[in-house]
Amino acid sequence: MDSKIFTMLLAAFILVSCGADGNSSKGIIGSPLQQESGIFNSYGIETSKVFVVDETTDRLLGIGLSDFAIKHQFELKKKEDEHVTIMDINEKFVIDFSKKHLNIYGLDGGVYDRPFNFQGTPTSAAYNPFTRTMIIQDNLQSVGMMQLAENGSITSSWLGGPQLASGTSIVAGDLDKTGRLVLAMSDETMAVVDVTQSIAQQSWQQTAFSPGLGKVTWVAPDNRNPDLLLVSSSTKIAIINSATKVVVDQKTLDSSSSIRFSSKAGLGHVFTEKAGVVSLYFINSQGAIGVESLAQASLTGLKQSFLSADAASITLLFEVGYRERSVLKMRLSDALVEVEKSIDTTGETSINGSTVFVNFKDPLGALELHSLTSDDVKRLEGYNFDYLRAHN
Amino acid sequence: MKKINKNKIYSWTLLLAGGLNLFCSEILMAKAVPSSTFVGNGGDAQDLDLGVTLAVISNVSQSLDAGSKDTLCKCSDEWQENDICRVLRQLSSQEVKACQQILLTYGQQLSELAGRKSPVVYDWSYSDMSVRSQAQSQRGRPVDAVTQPQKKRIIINRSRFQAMPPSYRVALITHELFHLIPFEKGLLTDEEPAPPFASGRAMLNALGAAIAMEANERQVFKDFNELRDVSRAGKVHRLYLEGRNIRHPEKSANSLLKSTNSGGTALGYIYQPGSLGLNISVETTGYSGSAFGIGISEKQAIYQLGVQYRFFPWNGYLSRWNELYVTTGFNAGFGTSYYKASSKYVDKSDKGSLLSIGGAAKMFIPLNRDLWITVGSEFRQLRYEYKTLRIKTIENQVVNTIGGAYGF
Repeated sequence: MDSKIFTMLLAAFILVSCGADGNSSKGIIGSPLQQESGIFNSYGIETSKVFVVDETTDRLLGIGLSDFAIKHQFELKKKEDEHVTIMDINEKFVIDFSKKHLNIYGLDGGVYDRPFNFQGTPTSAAYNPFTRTMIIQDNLQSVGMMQLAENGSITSSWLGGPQLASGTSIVAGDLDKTGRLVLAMSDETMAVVDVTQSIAQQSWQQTAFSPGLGKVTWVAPDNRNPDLLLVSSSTKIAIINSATKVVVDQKTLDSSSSIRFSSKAGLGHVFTEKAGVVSLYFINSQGAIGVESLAQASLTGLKQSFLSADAASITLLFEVGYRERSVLKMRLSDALVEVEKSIDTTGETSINGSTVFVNFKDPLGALELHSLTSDDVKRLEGYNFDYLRAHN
Repeated sequence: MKKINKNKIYSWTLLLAGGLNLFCSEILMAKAVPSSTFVGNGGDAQDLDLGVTLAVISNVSQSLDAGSKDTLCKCSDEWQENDICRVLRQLSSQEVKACQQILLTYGQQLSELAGRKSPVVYDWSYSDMSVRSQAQSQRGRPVDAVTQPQKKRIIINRSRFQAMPPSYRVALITHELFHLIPFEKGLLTDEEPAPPFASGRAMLNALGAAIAMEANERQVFKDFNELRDVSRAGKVHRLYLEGRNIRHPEKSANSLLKSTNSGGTALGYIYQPGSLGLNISVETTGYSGSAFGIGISEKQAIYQLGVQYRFFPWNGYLSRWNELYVTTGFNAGFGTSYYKASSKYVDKSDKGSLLSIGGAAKMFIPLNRDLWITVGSEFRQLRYEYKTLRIKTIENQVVNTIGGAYGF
């Protein structure tokens, strides 16, 4: 079979697999790309702005979350493509992905074009705002590495294939807080990639090791312990130290338990379910696996979850009907439901521990920001009207 | 008041109230100021009723011969109750003979004066007319028509003429036309003696009645029955309802929807006593559509007032097209414009006041029973502003209309 076709089929299989168990970030590097930049960054820190792609006007709009007003707007390049992606922001630039293309818009007005030529469509990315390192993966499993300057300009880059060693390919991965790329491979090994050296030498510079966890399919960095990552396979949940390349802690799931949901939003976490009892796994402040049992919780219809940086509360977004979504915030120490809200929306929604952001994708423009600490709802609507009139 | 020279103007008054009374008098003054020329010359009758009347007079007078004496200037048993017949019944045998002789002698001239190539000019008067003789007091006598021989001009009271039965019109116009026929002693006035008749007026009344009765006897009016129901342009009032197609030749820079067409309706009233008229209308127009997934609609209610000039472009002698006319004029209006842009989650709407100014031309095509088809076109400029949405529009429009009208 032609290797290109095989690669495409493999990519398709991986994507289908991702969707099958509702795990939004399993089997890929970093997190799936979305149109909204999100209201938290890669390490769970709430942001002051959110960027959205407006498909009606082909604009990238930066919305200030405090006054919920448009602060920045960029006309998208490559308008004919579907802009499925906005990644993370560092308050100084925003990154826009489209098919075979990438643009970085500096909030100071600078626009930086692609450093390399993807053949596929970017599907996921990992971004470390501390080291300004970006890893991009496309639907053909190509992996791009970029080092960004403070203003968002690209200082160095390299585009590599998915095969680090003969007979192995990338299954999942992410950047740890220090900037190392930690990858789970198809041969059940793991690799710690030196991104700086890989870019410098334009080849994979990695150290492989065998953690003995089986085939790891999900990798999440920890925002409190720079060297630690939470990983999961079908039978184990473990913490790996990317500096020492050893397994720090692990839990083995018995045959009646299964991983139901995993998320990198906020603090990386994994939900398992056994006989109707939901358990939450994460890296606790001691660098060990923390487990909370949520006896009364149900994961039916769960779309998103956000674990607060101190692992004190979890916010869950459920899809409960055609036009209704329910947001629930729970205190983990005693499973107290602190907030329960229904949001009438068919829009694209993202959550953090204090707010719910909704983009209705309305052609005239309609955004909402719901507070989880009060009944306050900020609404920004009709912002496309004047633009369309002026540019029609 | 318009002073008219003695011996220059003649009148014939026909009062219908309480039966038929005919008065003829020499005129000193005529109060017939508001008038409009509707006949360029005798052959281009632009009023269908007058055209029919002249055609009847011409046909009857042309066909008079010695054999006509059996009925001419006489009232047959069949028409005994006819008011015009009463005039003939009162004639002495001498007067009957004189009447017959005059008609047989001057019938050809009368036919030519009533014919298409006649030099006689007809004017409408839209107010009551009166005449005074030197022998009369200052107060004039009301008349339905006056004749100015030097100008070969006959002025007719419009509303009175419209209200008359066809035979009365024939009698009236025949009377007036005989003022223009030179007899042996010259032109005949109402008040000078005309033996064996008591006066010139009495003689002309008899001649008019004789032609009208002869037309009845010969059933000449039946030849024009098909024109009886044709809508008449002379009706002063019109109500109309029309559909409007509005083209926007200038694309507005601040319009979301690049529509170049919109539709609407207008309900209006026209007061057209003569060539000049007034037009009042209420119009609702608008368009709707979608762009970018946004539903967009704009509606306007416009109240317009205009002045218009009417003319008859075609000479449709003794046909329906005789009544077809065209108006051209200027309109000014005000109103309200409503705008709405709505999507699944957002509604943006506003309204603003509107001003319009423009020019229009409209053709009125006659049907029957005072119904009309109207076809027209208008060029106008609309100015309006939506303050909340910060949209200011100056738009030139071409409006094409088609509709119906009712005259009364």
